[in-house]
Amino acid sequence: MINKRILLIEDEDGIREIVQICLETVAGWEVLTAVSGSEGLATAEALQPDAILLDVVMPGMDGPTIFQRLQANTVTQHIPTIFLTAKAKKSELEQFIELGVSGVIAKPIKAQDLIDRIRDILDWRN
Amino acid sequence: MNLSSIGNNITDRKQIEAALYEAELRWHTLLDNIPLAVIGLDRNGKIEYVNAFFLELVGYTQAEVFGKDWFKTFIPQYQKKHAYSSFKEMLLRKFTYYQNLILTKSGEEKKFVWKNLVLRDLQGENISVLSIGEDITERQMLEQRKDESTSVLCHELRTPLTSIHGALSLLASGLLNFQSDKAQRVIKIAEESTERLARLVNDLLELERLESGKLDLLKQPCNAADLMMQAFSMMQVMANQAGITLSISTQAIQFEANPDQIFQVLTNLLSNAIKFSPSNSTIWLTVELLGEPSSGSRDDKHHSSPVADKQQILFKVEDQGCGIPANKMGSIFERFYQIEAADFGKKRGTGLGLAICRSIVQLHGGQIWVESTLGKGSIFYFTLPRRAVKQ
Repeated sequence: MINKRILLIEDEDGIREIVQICLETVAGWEVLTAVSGSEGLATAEALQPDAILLDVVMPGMDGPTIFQRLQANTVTQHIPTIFLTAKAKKSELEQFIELGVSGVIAKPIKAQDLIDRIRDILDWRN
Repeated sequence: MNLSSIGNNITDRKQIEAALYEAELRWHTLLDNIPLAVIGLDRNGKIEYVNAFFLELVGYTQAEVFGKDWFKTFIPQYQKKHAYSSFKEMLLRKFTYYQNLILTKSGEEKKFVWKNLVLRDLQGENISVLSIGEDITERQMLEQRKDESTSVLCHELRTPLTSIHGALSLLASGLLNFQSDKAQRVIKIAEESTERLARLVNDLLELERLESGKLDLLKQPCNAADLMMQAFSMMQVMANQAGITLSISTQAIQFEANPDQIFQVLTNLLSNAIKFSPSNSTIWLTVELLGEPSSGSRDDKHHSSPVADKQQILFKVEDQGCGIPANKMGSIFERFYQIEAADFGKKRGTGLGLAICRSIVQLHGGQIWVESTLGKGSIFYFTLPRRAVKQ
């Protein structure tokens, strides 16, 4: 489990820091961070993380747009991507799944539950 | 049959005719005056009747539509086939409700919900359809806006909650040493997020209170110079920290308003200007009197004159900041609208500040607006009637 590397793209400073501490300290994963879509796309292409945790609502480029760009790039299209979203409606969550993301995690979520959900979605239990 | 019975028959027939005429008149008066669309089509879809309300909604006269094909005249091209087959099915199965889009004379599309009644002759053959419809375009738009607004509100509430929830669960897990820098940082994030959530809830409650229309403004005599100086002093520290110069030009104009609320508008506009301005730039706060008599002075002796009743005070906050994109100008005073301040590294607000400003200014009988050039800066204006507007 140790050598997993996750890219977290999240514009909210507080959430980004908490999730980073949580994934690094509790799960023991390496966490790369980006505060915007453009920074996230560049980091994904350059550093090839094992998975991407992507916020949906961000200024400028939103989560679905970033995901489409990741999919359009042969270098990043294989990277499993999970949406992290404060959207609550079931229909909205279903729309995200239809885009082809690996999973959707709704905020707010407990630290341990977040790690468990990521492990389940990415099949990182073993 | 004797003459007497013939006479009675004629009288009876006249009475029946009069009753029929009266019933038809009553029926037509009703149809032409109800605030619902009423249309009558023959079994081929030709228009036999339309009421005045429907004609007004679609912008046609009776002569323009009478005898015309309903589907060719009122149904958008891309829906014609479906609408016609639904109509035929309705004649067969006699279902009574449906919704469709109607094309007005000007080309606008309106959404209608219809209740239909299939009319038959004595042999049971379908002869026509009478439909009563309601224009639900505006209602649907309002519902859509409400949905969007709820979705944004949900996001804004959940964002600080996520930090708080994550921070507390991380601390409760015992996996972080409480004295470590990481744990202290987590506590700090939780504290900041709690403050953000509290600000958001307070702003939301204030906006609801302002928009409820039940608020007593408690207007009192105010002095523009005093309020501007108070706002200036309040924002000075924030401006200094950002390396921004605040410039103020006051006039001792007396007016009637709720001073706390006008102070709130001024500080909010100044705070926004600071957030979106680069360091080493200047923000100007000025005031002037509009509708002022050419020979008049601005002191109190004119305050109760008829001229004073029409005078407006114009406040202006001008910055040299990033400006507002032209396509966002219409939304700037809406709830949760936020310009991206990321480039300036400034703290985000609740997204309710300008909506609160608008409500306060409008409650006072004034107006608020903005002029902006992208990359050069913005000027926020608001007017207030010099004399209190009776509510």
